[in-house]
Amino acid sequence: MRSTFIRDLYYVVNTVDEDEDAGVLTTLAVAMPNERFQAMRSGLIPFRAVFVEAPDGMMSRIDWLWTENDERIARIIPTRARDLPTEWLPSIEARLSLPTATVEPFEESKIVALSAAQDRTIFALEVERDSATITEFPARSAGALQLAVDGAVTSLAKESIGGELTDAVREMSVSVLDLQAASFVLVLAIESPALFEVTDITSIVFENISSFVDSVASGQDEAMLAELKRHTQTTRNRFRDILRPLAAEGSGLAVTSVVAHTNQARSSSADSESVRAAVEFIENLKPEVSYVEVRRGTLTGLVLRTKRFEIVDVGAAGQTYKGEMTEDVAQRANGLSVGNESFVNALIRVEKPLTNDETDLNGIKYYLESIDPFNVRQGRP
Amino acid sequence: MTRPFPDNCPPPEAAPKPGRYFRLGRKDLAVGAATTSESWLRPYETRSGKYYKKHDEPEAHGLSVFGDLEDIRSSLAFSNWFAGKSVAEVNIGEEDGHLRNTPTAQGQSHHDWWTNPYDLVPVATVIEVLGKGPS
Repeated sequence: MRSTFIRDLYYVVNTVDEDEDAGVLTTLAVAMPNERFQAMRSGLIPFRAVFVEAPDGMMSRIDWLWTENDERIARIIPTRARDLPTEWLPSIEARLSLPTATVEPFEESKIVALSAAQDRTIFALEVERDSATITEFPARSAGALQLAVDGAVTSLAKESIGGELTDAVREMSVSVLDLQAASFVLVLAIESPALFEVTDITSIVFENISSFVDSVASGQDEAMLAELKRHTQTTRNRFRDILRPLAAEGSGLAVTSVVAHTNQARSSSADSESVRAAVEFIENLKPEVSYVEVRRGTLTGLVLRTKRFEIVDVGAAGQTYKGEMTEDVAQRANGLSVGNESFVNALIRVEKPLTNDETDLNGIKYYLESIDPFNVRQGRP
Repeated sequence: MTRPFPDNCPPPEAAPKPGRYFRLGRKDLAVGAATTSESWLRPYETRSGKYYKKHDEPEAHGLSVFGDLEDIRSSLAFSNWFAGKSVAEVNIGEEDGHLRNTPTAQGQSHHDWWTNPYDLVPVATVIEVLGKGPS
């Protein structure tokens, strides 16, 4: 319970004994500051520590008695930790586990006011950790989330102007302003190099982020797939990267954004089950398959042992294809010479994943389906 | 004497939740014993509780029961006050009143039970004495 006189003073009261026949109830009351109370409430410290570590003068034994006239009498006896009978102490392993906000609570109106005061877009990401009882989120996941959000913002900004890089987009980034409680709330802001934030761009950016979160929340695979396909692979990768650390922590996601000069907050949220299902869907999605017919290419690389190839398409401005081949194709390629004068025609299968973890080739994989010297024409398999 | 419910009691959030529940009771009951009216005093009749004599508050008429026996057992780790207390099992039917889940520090399965009729003395049997192991 909280002191009615001193704002940051709390009392923990535990009933330790009772004489049911005499009607006497014995309790221990320990006074402590807010921080200690929160640590006890959330289970960061054992419940027993509250009593065995109580400073002298902070703990009292209170015996409650009732008179024949039913009047309650409290007999208060200052008590020292070292004098407590062992049987009055909680067990060593006892810990409370109550959800406890340990930082300032998040209020939507605060970010609306902050956006208006700073003339820039402010947004909040609310996440949670399923095992946490205090306001905390693992640094590794929080870092991954912030990187992914920063990447999504810049990628969406680039998309919004057709891929052309301007200073406004090139230097747009995200800053962390504050941490607040609900579950765990990151308050972030758009950093813009221009004197005024280009809200035409940021409004599109946050429209898209909200739209993506809504699609995750819908639980409809087709809706999420359609949403992802509206974007470049870089943006798709960043969206996936936002969800991954959340799924790892059993967290949902709520995004509240206030675009500069609008004074209006928009919120979208997806629960932890939707986030987990979305990550599973994205990671198990089969790649899109297409075929490229190289009518006249040069075989610039061939390693039969590892079944690797490299072909440069002479007719397609030197587009290079590097990848793998099957045993059958390797046997067919056996004997072909390698070099700038070794012309071949080939059929190559192209697998393009929706998202990828590779930094080059956008995760596209090439597989050699057939290969012949240039003057021999092969049909599709 | 058990008093009738005040206005707005049971609270609108409470509803029938038939099932098996557990009631923490006095220390002088052994395993196998039947509970008595003493075991079912309402909060307004319990001197050590915060609702003592507060007949006008709906919460003062709700009997404290747990849906999960483990919640009661684990309370023993927090205070020796529970040692020796009896735990009675009670089967609550659809017509036996309204319950509301009111989690406490001791457990998420804690419920307040507003009996039907208001002065019902439930039939229950002690199945365990805390600190002495399950029967």
